Amino acid sequence: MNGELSNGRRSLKRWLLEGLVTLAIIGFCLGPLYWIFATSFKPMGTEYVIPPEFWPSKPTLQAYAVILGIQAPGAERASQEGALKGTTEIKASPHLNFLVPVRNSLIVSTSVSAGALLLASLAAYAISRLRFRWKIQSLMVLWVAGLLPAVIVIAPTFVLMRSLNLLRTLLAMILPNIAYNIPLTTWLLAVYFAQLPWELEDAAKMDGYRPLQIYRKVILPLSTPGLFSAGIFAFLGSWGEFMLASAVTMGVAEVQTVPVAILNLSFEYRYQWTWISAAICLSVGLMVLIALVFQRWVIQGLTAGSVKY
Amino acid sequence: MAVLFIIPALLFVTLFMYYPILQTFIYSLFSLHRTADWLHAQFVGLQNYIAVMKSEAFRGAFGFTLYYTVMTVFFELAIGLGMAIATFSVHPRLRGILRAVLVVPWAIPPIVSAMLWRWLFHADAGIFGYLLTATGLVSKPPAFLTDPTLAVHSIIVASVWKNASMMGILLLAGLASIPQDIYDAAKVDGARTWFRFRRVTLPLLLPTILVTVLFRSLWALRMFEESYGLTGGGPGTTTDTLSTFAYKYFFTYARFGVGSAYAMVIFAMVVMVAIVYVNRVKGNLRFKE
Amino acid sequence: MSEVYVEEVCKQYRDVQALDSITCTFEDGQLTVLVGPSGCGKTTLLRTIAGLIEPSSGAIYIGKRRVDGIPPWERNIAMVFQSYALYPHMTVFKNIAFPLEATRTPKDEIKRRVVETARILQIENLLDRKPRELSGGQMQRVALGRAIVRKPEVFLMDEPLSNLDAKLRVVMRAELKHLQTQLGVTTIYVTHDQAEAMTLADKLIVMNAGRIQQVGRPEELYRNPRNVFVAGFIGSPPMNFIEVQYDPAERALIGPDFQYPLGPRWLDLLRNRPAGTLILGIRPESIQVIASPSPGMVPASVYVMEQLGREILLDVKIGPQTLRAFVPADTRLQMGQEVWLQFQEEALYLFDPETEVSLSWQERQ
Repeated sequence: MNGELSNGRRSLKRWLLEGLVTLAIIGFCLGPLYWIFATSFKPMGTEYVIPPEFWPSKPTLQAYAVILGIQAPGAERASQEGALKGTTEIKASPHLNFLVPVRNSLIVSTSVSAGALLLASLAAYAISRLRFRWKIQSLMVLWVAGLLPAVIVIAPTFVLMRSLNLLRTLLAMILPNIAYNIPLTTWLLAVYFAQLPWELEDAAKMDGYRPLQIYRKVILPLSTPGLFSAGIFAFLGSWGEFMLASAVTMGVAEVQTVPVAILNLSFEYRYQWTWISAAICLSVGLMVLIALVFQRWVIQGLTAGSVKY
Repeated sequence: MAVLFIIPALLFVTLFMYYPILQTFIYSLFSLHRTADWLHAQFVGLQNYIAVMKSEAFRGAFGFTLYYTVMTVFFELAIGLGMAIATFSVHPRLRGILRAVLVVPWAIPPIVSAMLWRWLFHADAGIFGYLLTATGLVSKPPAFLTDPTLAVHSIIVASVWKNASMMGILLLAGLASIPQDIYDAAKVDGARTWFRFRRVTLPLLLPTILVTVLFRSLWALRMFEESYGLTGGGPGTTTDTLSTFAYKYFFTYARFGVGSAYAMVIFAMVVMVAIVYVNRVKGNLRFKE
Repeated sequence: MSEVYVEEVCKQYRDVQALDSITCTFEDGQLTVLVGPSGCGKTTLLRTIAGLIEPSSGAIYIGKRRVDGIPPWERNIAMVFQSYALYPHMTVFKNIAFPLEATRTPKDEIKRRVVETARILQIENLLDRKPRELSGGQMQRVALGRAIVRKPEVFLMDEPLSNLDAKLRVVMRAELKHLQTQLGVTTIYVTHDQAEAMTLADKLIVMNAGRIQQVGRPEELYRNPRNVFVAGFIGSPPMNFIEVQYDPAERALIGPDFQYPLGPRWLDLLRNRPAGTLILGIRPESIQVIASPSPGMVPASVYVMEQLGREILLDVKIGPQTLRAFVPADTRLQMGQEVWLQFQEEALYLFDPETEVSLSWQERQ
């Protein structure tokens, strides 16, 4: 426990210790990811070789080519077998296209972020800046919803989507996910709005602005960073959502999101770990990048949403 | 007037959270199949609950859910606290790197994390099995995901990896919110590192630790993806949680009544922890009236 | 009880020289005040002595022991923080006992010494309270108690009174001075408030931009500042400065709107100096304001009057320059009215415009 301010004369021993600790934590957090990353570049089949190669001796983009549909799955093996048997008949399976779930996930997550931000910013504006009865109660209702497990709402939601004829559509994921993300988004935005100077609003009121105009012309333009960080949470949250997505897509590949598609890939091609690894790298890469780039906001949001109310 | 701003959000949350809870409760009182509409549904009162409680599978899932919650939260806290303290103590430049690194496991969707660990725990070519045999600890790679005891703990390991760094981030924020002057005062007062930690840092961090543990427990109790992705509940039903059972009853066996009874049990457990959690933090939910 | 000696201590942050080769002595049993504007390095120096910051180079001695490189918990010092830094989770008793517990003092002795300390500070009735139940003044006393209970070699105080309201600050200032004299522990006291510094200090160290500007007793610094910075920093309201031309032929200083004939003492001091610019300094309390002209006086016009009760603080204009001076409270003046200022020659300071060093500093010492 040091929390040192000083960075003057640091002993070599201390630097060494700190370096080791840092490396250990990096290894812990990134090690498993590295292994998937390395696997995704291995030529098909070599991922099973013992002892495993820590970095493929012949790195290849084959796995990526397969899951992106550039190369048909089994094409290589078929051609190898074909060569052995002396025939040219290639038994190609239908092409995979992992870009479809990526596209679906992008549509879902973007829509969810936009929807949640819209509804949550209105609610957050009322909570942080307006007076009304039942304010604390409304806040509690919104907040507690964020603590409840999805498994208790999944069946009725499924039934609802069926009766609305929305099963096997992206909308069936978008609408409930907006609701799932409203609690945290509202909270983050309310905290953000509350710290904007009150003088702005008073000045706008004197100029004859009504609340909706103040929200649109004063609060929102000033809250870009807050909206942005709240949006990241809604985006990441809906990107990873699995339970509902798996239920409402009902195995239809065209509407699957990334998490569902990855699980399905592992069911269908359970021995093709290079492909699964490539799919994981593709889908996780974007999320990790977002989280790293907006690290400061992610950390603020995480603490604001759980321990530091 | 102001209420109009909050109504859309409340409406959405009610439609997709609160109202479905009520529906789930009603489902749980019926013998109800997904394919069967309400015409064929039969009111059975608490029959579903009784059947569920009596089943061996439920007791297994209940036990595993509790064991999983206790174990993961404990190890996540221990490792998270260690990482938080380390991150807090190292040179600012290293601290920046570590903070970024800690965010990474959190950013990975749970089901993807489960897939990732399925590869690491692979029975033939998994890196863990290889490392264990290579170091001579075991003669052949253990069946991480197919041996009942090992499967349970493999899931726990994977979860700890996924969530410990998030705990670390939260605890780091707690450490950083203790005024630097307090640490300095303790140093000048003659307190050595361990004494400072035990008598100043730890007690001041305790509220954060408590809230973090409660918060994580809320999520651990509903654990779904880790089991579903890593083992699918197997071998047998040894790693089925209440959530995976509920899900399977809904969407595999199409028995909404039984599934809903499972869901209500999860709900009850989460609510119990949530009440403690909410009471602990609601005092801080303050906005200008 | 020991003397603290700081030798050529430097502290370099990435692009800031926070401490620039500081060498000074804090005498045994005395209260030495480090004073200067914010960012001058005084707190950095204090924290360096405490061991909370390691110097980039140089040495620090407490008594005969060299302490740089030794962690703060082995330096046998006590520090009072501006924020008091009381342990929020401990009672007052536990707070005061903490330094003793940290150094493994036997239980009964801890009890005895905490109670004794509480008695000295008159906080015996607060021992069971938590810090959040205390007023600012009470927290201040607890912080002091925590410092004195372990009988350290040195007290370090970092703006300990600046969180108190103005009235209480004056009371605590007196108590602090009394306590320090009674205990006779070497004390290093950091403040940005020159009035506080003047009243408390046995010895003052004025710092600016990471360097020591001047060291001395309070009245010494007031009477004989070494440079423009110290002259402007010590004294309230601060010394007035006017840029003037020294004209050896006229034996006078030529100001924007006036000519000031120099007496023999100044002519003697300036005898080797060529004609050129000088900075003239005069304290507000050394200016006499007269309603009618007489020779050698400086014409000015009244700009602002601030009634202080005992006297009036006057802002007057000489050309574009503003000077401050005092007149008796019952003086009748009007804005814009013409007045004449008399500078007492012995209260006059002249500074070199390049080095900003006082020309009479050597002579006055």
